[in-house]
Amino acid sequence: MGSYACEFSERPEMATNDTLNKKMMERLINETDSVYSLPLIYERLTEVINHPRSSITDITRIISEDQGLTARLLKLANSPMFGFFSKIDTIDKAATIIGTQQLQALALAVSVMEIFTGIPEELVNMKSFWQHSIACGIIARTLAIYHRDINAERVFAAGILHDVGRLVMFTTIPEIVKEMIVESREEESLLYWIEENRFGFTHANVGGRLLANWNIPESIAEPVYCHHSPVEAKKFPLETSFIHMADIICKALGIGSNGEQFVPPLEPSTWERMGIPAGSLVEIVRYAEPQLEETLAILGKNAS
Amino acid sequence: MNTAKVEIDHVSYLEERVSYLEEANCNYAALLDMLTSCSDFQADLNRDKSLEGIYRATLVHLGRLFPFQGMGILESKDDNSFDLAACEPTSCWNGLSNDIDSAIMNGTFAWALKRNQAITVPAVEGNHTLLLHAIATQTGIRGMFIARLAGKNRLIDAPTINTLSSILLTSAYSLENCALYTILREHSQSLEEKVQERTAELLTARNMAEAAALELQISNEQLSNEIAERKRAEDELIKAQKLESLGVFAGGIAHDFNNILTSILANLSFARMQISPSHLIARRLEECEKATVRASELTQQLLTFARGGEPVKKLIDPVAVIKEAASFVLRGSTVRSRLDLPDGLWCVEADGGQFSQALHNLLINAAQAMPDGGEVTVRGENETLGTDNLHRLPAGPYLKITVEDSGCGIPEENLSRIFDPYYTTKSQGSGLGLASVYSIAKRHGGTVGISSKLGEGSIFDIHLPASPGNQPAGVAVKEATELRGAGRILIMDDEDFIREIATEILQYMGYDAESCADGKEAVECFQKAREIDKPFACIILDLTVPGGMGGKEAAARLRELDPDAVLIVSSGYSNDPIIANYQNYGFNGAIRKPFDADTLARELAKLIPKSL
Repeated sequence: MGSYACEFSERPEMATNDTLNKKMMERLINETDSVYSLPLIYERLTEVINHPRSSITDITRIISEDQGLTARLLKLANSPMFGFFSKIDTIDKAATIIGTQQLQALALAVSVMEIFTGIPEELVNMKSFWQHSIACGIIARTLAIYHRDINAERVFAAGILHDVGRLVMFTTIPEIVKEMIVESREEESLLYWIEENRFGFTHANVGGRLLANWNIPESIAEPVYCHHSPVEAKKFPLETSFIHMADIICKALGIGSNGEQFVPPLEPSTWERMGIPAGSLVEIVRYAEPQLEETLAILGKNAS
Repeated sequence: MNTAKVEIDHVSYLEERVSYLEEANCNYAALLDMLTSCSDFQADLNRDKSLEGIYRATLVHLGRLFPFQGMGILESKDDNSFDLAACEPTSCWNGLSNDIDSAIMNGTFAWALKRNQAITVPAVEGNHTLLLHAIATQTGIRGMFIARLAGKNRLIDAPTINTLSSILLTSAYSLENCALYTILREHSQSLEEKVQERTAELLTARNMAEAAALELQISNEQLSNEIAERKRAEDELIKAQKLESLGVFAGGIAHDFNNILTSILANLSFARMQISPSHLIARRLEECEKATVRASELTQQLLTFARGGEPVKKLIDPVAVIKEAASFVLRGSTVRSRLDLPDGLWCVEADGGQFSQALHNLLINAAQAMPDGGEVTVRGENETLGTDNLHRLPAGPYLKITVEDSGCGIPEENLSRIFDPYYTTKSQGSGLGLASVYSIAKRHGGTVGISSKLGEGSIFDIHLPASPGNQPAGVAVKEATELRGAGRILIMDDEDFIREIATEILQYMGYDAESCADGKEAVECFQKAREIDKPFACIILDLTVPGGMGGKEAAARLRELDPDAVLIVSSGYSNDPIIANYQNYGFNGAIRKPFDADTLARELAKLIPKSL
């Protein structure tokens, strides 16, 4: 994989405690990176997929090495989320039918979910956490499909991973997070506002930074980084809008829990960017809902 | 050793990495080149506004992206069906069609539409892989890209696929623009057509309105012409009715007047008979008689004017009539007459009254054409017409009388109408003058012509059939003895003074005269005379008996009783057809009232054999 640098624009108010905040961010990322790392399989998959001379057999061989991943991918491929008309029983068929890049995105989501384990139950109910994340992924994916986006699975992965920064915080600074949750509850303030006030950055920024660190494509990392500040997305504003919107919808519908008590405010420009009629939103949610349960069953099992 | 092996492995791993990265780099560079040339592609798309052009440009561009074995684009139809619309190379059309059919059959096609991304599936038949990619924008599916990749399980690397997607998206937007442009153009065209239609309709409506207005104007004019015509006709009708009532009135007066004249004339002539011609008063009586004849002629003219009718023809010397007419009409006026009447002019068989009436009218007309005075020339000529003459008259001898004035003339446009009844240019004219000239000429088997120049005068010429060689009998006073006769004569007349004078004349001439007042009495007298064996040698019957049996009916009765009876009709109405054609009504002769003694005697002498 080539050198991949991810530069995110810094928020103006961060300039005051600039150094301190940067150090804090670096600490969080480094600590996480030392404990959790993206499985090699993802990197290899990426390489094969991008290689002009590789074949489906190469892809199949790599994925098949991880039995768990293989099983989950096949289950996903046969889930209502895809609704393929016949059974997809092999990875090579999944690769041709779903698409290699789409498979790669799914593999990423599955892999990351498998990484974060052993997070204290007192901070967050992991099942409930992934429930929110998966619902966000599905709704973001539905928005992307509605928008006729070419790689909806990437949006799906970004949706699943959008709160990965919270996991980083839970594992690295659990006490501070606990304090902030209490503060949020007492002050009836959004948790990410409190994060913002405290560190000059939010869990979204942390998640985005982590994914970038892992050489995850920017089309996934930036939407995660900016999902609470979508106007900052410079390269993938549309994908960011999907995540921003889906997060709010999931919070509004009360699907799962990510530690946030309140529904975040909607950035109006994202709505304009998506160009989806307000009336279609109900249709989109109705379309996404039946996929939730089974996708949760497939992906949520190992996360719990 | 181990270290070395590890190092070698490490080196070979690094070499492998380098070679992979170089290759990937190459690939990316090529894709970048390819994307750079997208501007060309865009230009192609923009240049060609047709769907076919966009398909072609897309295929050409994608051909540079990847060595496809064959590729094609299916057009998305309005009814949601798909048709292969373009193909590259064209030779793979059938193969691609088969691939499409099987992709549709096994659901791959629908899946590709749903996924809106590149789907690569092994072909059902043949050793190749099928790539399907929907060509869609956010608003809708515009088509489907289909391509063959060599090998059964071929894979296209992600960067290439993404480039492909991006190109197809561009293509999709171009197709959409094209479709929208077409719709827009159709709209504007239909709008334009509608505008044109409406304009044409308005124009037609305007033309129709104009035509209708014109028609209205024309019919308006026609109507006003018709109204004017009708008004004229009404005026003429009123005039005609006026004339008719005048005619009836004049006819009535003339009839009575004629009877009076008959009495005067009969008495005068009777008186003259009883004295010697050398007697001092004989000449006075003769003058009186002449004046009475003229008065009688005047009444004739009145009757002719009132009724028209058949001329009672007799041989007439035109010279005397012309002279008399000229002096009568022009007397007292500023118009002089010049008569050019050579010796030997042929006589005409004509009704004297009508002949002189025609001349009178022509002369009156000439005099009126010269209100400031002038000269009217009356010329008499003998003319023998051949067949095919200009006057369209039968060949034969004719008397031509020309009346020429130096008056105002008649405009050419009026020439054809001057003989029409009631046509007049004079404020006091009846419009009957020239019309009666025409009808008189016609009735006599002749014709009348006109030539005129405005401001120079008019020339009328009358042709009347002539009788060369014959001379009218002069009004010679014959010895009374020559006229004497004998026999019983019955005279029927409603006027007692006529009965009286007639009886006296007849008795003077030696006849045994009896009289009665109407036809019924006449029949009774006739029967009585036969019973006593004293039959009448001749019966004179007045034609018109107001309130009683007239001459016509009486004649028919008498003729029944005696087919050989000698019957003479007498009437003041010389124009009555019975007078003109008395034979047809069972009469042997006719006497026109007023008659003088001479005429009566002559007629009787003609019909009653001396031996009786």
